[in-house]
Amino acid sequence: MKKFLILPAVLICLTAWEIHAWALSEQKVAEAFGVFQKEWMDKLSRHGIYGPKHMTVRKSRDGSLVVASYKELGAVKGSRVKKTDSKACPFVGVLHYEEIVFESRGPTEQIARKGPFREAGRTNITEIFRFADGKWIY
Amino acid sequence: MRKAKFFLAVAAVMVTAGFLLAFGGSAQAKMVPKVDNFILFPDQSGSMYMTHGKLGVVKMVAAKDLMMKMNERIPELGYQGALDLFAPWQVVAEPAVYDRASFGAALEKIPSDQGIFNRLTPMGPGVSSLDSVLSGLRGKTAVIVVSDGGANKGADPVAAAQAIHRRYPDVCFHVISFAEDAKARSILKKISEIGGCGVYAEGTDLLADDQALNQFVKDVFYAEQMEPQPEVIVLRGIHFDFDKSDIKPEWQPVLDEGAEILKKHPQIRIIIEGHTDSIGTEAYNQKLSERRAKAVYDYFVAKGVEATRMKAVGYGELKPKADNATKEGRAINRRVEIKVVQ
Repeated sequence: MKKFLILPAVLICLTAWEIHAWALSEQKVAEAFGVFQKEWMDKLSRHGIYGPKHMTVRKSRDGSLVVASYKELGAVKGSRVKKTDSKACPFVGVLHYEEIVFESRGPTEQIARKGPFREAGRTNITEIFRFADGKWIY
Repeated sequence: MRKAKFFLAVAAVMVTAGFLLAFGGSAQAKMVPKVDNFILFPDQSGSMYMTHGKLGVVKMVAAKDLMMKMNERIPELGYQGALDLFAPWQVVAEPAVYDRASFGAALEKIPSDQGIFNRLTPMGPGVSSLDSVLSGLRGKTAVIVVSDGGANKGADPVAAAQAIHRRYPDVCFHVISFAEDAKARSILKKISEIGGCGVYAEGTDLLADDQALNQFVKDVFYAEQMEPQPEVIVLRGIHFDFDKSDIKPEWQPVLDEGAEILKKHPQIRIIIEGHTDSIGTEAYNQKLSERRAKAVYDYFVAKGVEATRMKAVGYGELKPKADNATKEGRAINRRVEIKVVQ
């Protein structure tokens, strides 16, 4: 009877160890994504086309006014890491953040550009990254 | 018998594996606070120190037990929490950012044993005393009354609660009732109905049913916010080789995730946009981005996203997301975006 119990006991130990190792690995990958997303948001903030420097101007829908607008990078709204079936890309990371649009309206471009600017809307952005060769790729 | 033990062991392995694998799940709902402040407001009148007919214990003992259980379930979401008793009025914990351990220590201070006789219930004046706390709070406030509804001294408690609500329209009265007669129950229900935002629950039900208590806490304190419906999905790490537009196997999980998001929101229509950095001619980048957007479009169709929901366009280098003057900026610009159009 003891012989019959050895094999399942070994199986249980191996499976538990593998699942434990996998769970730890996923935890490390998730932690790495936490660091990566901060760096990504920092890159967007530094290199992205945000702020009054990147103002654009257009006509309002009815053509009566000029609308000046620019975007600002908003806050991270959430993120998650998901395991995949792919050996080449064992995890994907999903990051949600907002972009905030500010607008000012006026009869001329000069007046519109002066402001004051008010928040005109928010866009939910979802970015999907892949994990390969031990790091998050963009 | 031996075979049975063997199969039991194998089944145990499979159940354990399945149980552990279940924790590999991905998305979770986010808890968003419904209130900026809450005041837990137990009744310490004489009747609360009498034995509850159904529970067989002193009502305040049951109430304290329930409030301690509730405290274990309240998420720490940054609201101010206060603990005040009425009948007579007593401040136990001034408003402070809610911290489970500190609030639990404050709850312990509520007497489990007090005299019964000559301790009437000035519930109305007690409710009016909330003014001294509410005047220092900003935003939405939940007042959680824990009482048996006895109100045999002073002003009408329902009228007092209505007056508080008129003065502080952002106050919601919630009630945990230990009432044992119809009149007391009616008073407490009317208080919970003021403003149309309160929750009424029987203390006996919350003590007996953990799910009911969890639901009460959720109804009072927080909402669950699911992942927002996306408006723009950006696929990263899709680095097409020079002059190529075929999809490499290592990108498939990113594309599959994009396809999954689209399938979760079947009502939305999208435009798949190809974008490049500014290296190369405008004409070249335009054609390349169109081919790449089409490659992603074809992949999504193969994955079951209806073709009629999608359109593929290339914008070349014309819609940068970042400054092309820097290496990092150019990397940010090389992307495929999925724009939700309705």
